[in-house]
Amino acid sequence: VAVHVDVIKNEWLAGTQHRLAWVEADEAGRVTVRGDQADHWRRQLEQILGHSLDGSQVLSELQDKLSGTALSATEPHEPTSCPFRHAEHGTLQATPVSDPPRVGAR
Amino acid sequence: MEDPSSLEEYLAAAPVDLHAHFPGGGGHANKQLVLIRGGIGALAKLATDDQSRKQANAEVAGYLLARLLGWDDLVPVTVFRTVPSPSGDVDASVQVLWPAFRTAAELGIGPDAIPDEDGWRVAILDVLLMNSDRNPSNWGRVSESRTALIDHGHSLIGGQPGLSSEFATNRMNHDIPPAVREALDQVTAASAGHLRDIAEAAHVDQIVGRAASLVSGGVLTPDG
Repeated sequence: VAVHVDVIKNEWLAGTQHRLAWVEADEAGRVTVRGDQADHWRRQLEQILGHSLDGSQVLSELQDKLSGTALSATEPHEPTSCPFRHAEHGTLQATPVSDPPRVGAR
Repeated sequence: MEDPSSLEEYLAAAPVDLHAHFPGGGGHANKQLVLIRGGIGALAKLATDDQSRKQANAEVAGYLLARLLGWDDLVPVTVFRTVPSPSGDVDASVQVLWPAFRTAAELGIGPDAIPDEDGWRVAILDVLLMNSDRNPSNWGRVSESRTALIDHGHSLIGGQPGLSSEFATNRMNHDIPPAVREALDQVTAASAGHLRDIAEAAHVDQIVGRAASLVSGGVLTPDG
């Protein structure tokens, strides 16, 4: 079964993240970039890694190297466990820390 | 505002009203959005072990150095403080989030796409910090009009020194512009100022020494 990593844009202020592309490696180690702008993202990811996307080990390299504030990559996983299998977007899960000031009852 | 210290003080001390995380979805175990009282959205990078503490310090150092150089338009205000998290109160770097920020990777631009003056400023910051990870995912543009930097954890102070910066590589052995040399003078004159509050003395001394060497030599070299 082919495994892949998802390349994600994190919009912290908007409270959303969305998948920009995903990088798939088959059992033979062939690497394919998928998504609407696959060619663009292959070029960018090769620049970020500093080498071409060859061999299944690039999936782990992407997870290690692409872990920034704005862009990040998931750990390699199978399609059935993909966090984006149902939707291309994710949302922040918030935990309020303080209660808002109470307004006295009239 | 010429003096950002009041914003720094507020960011460091104001109550946190909310923290929020992306579930699953990639590389964010130590990152969270924090809502600072008054409506400031900031990114907290949690210092949960020695390495993440070094990297959190390096995030603050990146900002403090930019401010010392007079270039705090390039790096958003960043402080070290305690924040609430799912596992209780934790030390963290807390950095104001750029609005309308797109990375160079998203825009499909390279270092040549920004004004040369900005390119010099990024190059100098990277050389001084020994930034080992300036890549298209950690610089970009705000509203496609202002150069903006993020993610300074991979550096001397972050415990991962090196120099991997196309901004610097493109300018090696070039004469440093006079305005940039004047900015470097601020680092040496202040002996790195508040950087000493956040980083090891030996690392700060290296930064100051490198700045002095760049000023005296007049050309960009990897080690100043």
